[in-house]
Amino acid sequence: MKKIISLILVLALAVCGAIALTSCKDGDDEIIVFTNAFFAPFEYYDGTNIVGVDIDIMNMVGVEMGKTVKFVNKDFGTLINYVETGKLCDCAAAGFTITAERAEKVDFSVTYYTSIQYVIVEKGTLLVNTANDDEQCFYWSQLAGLKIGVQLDTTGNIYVQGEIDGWEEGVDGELTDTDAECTAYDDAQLAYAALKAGQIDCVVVDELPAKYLIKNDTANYEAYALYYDADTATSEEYGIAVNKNQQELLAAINKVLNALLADIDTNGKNGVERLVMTHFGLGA
Amino acid sequence: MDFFNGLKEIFTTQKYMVTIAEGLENSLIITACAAAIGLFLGLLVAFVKIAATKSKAMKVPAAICNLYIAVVRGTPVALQLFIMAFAVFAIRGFPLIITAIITFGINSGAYVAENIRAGIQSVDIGQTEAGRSLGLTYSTTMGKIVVPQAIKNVIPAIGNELIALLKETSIVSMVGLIDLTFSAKIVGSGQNMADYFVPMCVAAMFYLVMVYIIATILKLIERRLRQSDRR
Repeated sequence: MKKIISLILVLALAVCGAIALTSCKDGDDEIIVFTNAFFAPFEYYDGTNIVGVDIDIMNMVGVEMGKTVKFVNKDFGTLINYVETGKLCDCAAAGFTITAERAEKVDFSVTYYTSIQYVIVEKGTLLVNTANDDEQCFYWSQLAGLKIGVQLDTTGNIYVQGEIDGWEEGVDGELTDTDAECTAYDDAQLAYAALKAGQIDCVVVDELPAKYLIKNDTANYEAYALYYDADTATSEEYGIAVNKNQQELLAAINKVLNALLADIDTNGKNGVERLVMTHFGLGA
Repeated sequence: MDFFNGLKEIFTTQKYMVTIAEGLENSLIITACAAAIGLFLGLLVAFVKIAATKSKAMKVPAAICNLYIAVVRGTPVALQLFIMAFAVFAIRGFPLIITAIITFGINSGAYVAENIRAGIQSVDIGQTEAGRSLGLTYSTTMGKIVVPQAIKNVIPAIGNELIALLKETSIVSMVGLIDLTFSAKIVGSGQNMADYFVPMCVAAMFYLVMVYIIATILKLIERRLRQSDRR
């Protein structure tokens, strides 16, 4: 019995050692990028491959640095912490809005896209307004008392929760005391599925994912920008989150982004906007 | 009819089938390897715990085994997976599938250990006494008389654990692996079908078929083992 047990233990140790050794192939010629691939057109699954605008950008960075780029799908809410630790990945490209809280933990690349928060509703539920810049929109005050679905830890979630709870002591948000409820889902599409199932009244999500989600069902659902008043949109800027110790990578990302942003074609679209249109199926 | 059109679309589109096949493959690999590790760990722990009732030297290993069972059964497997992936095996480029296999193996081991211990202890003490009286050593008595009878008792319980394990693997997408459930989510995601319902139903069907196959095999094994029974 003792012999058998000791033999087993030795075997187990050997297996562990072997695994540890093989896994120590060092990843210096590899950039590991975490993302949440349910945020079309910035990142989404095509078969089992992750593709999208952010993915194209990171692949260009890979070419720039002469490294291979590996993409791994993770829950959106965990991404910033991964990048902060920097142990398992170098950066996260997931359509991150640059916020002060996030910038404390990670470095952000230059802004490469400006997005507006959108509201998806069943057609005819809310009155569509026209803002002063002629954009069709909904106002925050219209969301009073509604059940609002968001993607966990996205800016949509932060904004809606902030407006419900009030931004600071004594200062009420737009939705404070209106019975508005915020429900967070793991990804935007799940929130949209909940809207379709009648569990919530509207979904607050970034502009492009919102347009993308309703693309196949524009007969029943509509999505318009979310404005504070006729002059102020709920806008935000995207950046790629990079670990604070990866200055070289950050520089390469910024170089690629600046080149893309400066590359304006005859239609006045820059490189990033053209990528967005390609992934939207609108052609380059 | 939308549902059936969706089904048709999934089964006739190669991209979707490849995705689901990859998910299915990962689910099966994780289940099979974890079940093997679980069975091994479970046997080990069960024997240590049984031996501790007879010998003082095994008291300390038995205490460790008890702690192992208490911790593993006392925490959700989702959290165990999380801890394994982000603390224990937080090594750059470490294959996630091995993390998942080890986590589920360790998890399964605790349950299997208790099943096996129950099986061994359900064999009448008279069997051990008879073996020892005939001059067999303790280990021979265990190996040739008690364990063969115990196996028959634990097969249904182990089968249960195997089936539960297969379905539990559906949480591995949490750490970035593509399993059957997650592959259905991919097929249902925006760029593909933009609808979760039909792919999820397809995944459920696959699980159902796999569990049915496992159950059938177990039934055959049980029938074979029960041939000598008079009941």
